[in-house]
Amino acid sequence: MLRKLFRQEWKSFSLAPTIVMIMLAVFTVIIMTTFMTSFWDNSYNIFAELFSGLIVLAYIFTLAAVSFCITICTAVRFYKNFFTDEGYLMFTLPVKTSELLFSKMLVAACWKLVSMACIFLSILGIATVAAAYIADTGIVQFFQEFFELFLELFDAEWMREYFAVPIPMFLIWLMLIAVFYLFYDILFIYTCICLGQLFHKHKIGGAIISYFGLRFVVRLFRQLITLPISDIYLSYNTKNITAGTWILFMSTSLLAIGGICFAMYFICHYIMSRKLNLE
Amino acid sequence: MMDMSRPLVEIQGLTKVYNGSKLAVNQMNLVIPRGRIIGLLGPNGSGKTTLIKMINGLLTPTGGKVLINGEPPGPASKAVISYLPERTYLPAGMKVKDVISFFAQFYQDFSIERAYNMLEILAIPPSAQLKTLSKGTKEKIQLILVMSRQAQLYILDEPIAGVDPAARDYILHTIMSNYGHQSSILLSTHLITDIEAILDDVIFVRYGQAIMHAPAEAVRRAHGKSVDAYFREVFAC
Repeated sequence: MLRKLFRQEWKSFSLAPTIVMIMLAVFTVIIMTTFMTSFWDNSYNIFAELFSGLIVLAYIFTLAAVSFCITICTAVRFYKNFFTDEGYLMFTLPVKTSELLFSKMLVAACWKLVSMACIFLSILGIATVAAAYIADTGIVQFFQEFFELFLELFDAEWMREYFAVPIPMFLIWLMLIAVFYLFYDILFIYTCICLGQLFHKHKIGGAIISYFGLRFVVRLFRQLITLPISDIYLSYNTKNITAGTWILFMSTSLLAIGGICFAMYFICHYIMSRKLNLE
Repeated sequence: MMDMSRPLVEIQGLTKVYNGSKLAVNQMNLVIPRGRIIGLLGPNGSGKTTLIKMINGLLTPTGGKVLINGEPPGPASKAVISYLPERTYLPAGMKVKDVISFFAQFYQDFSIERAYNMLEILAIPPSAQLKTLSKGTKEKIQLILVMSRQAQLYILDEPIAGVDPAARDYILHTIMSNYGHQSSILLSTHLITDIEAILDDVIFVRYGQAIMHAPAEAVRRAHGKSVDAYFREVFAC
């Protein structure tokens, strides 16, 4: 059932993000093209200046639109599909509440990853072409040199000096944290909407109030749980931090974010299964 | 293994209070047997829709319990209940054929062939987008989706209120000809005259309580009048 729900959710979710990604791709190609032609050599032309200004502005708005679009689609899909008239369809399906929740979470998470990848590739593409234009080298050669420099960073002596744990361990921690934060953002939205449903009237207003309340509670929890290892946050010089402290920091932060995510999931599940009141 | 000797739906001390003070269903006790067409009748605000929503797991009871085949509302009960709400609940952006495909995916007892037959009879194009259709047509589509299933319990909340009189006969004919005789139908409506002929049992609901649950014929014999006339007498303003 989860696969069927995922497929249906993907079809319903994807229209707006796809349009915005296409716009991003179009503006990226246009800007990259300007660097690969002699466009910037004619920058004293007023029309060229106006065009370039408009294109850059449109590109920046599109970058912002990509992030906002996913967040808005996540919130709107969840609310509309579960807590408006469409809820009569979804909550009468012969599926578990966990399957309803996971299908939405997974689709939103996939699109967040796609949007992050698209933004990264767009900026990387423009930056590479622009830097190659400025440095007056070929794009391929510039990209190769940049990639080699990037790899050298991880082998540098200073990395071993400042991070007492092996770099692969640090990278695995970073990936796990990234995965948790991916679901954290989505579950935060879902939890606020679910908590809003507990209000008798003005459920959307209740969701907004819950947003501020939940932010406060989560911040307080994270401050308390990371207090014993606050050295790492307060100290700019990580040379003096031992491997033990690093491991404590990494495991505590993972547990904190993981715990928050699970707590938010259980709140949503509990409200949707035990406190549902579709009116 | 399902116990077929057990009633289909058992409602025990069921209570629902809205906003901490509005009592919609009040300690209701009811049993819905198998193989009966039951009219759930009562004035506006008597608790009919609230009861129906609690059976479907769309509202959480404040007290008491509702059991379907001995289990509380959940995936198992939703697989055997085919529910028609009083509102349009299908996503407006979908096409009629997409909705049929959606139902076929999630309900094992859904018959695509039956659904398309009924669409053809009602001259509803499968490729039409729901947002382009009238309210009455959307209600017909929802009824087609419900009656294309081989459910154990059909719950129809005001199935004929929003449709034209000509279509009402077709809808009632569809209900009678498409439901399995081991199944039950729970029909909530104000238009008692239109449905009285098909009812086996009637339940009168007032102030959130079931004040009467009897065979329709017994009501007619006992009171010497139609169920509709008796309803008007009981619920006279």
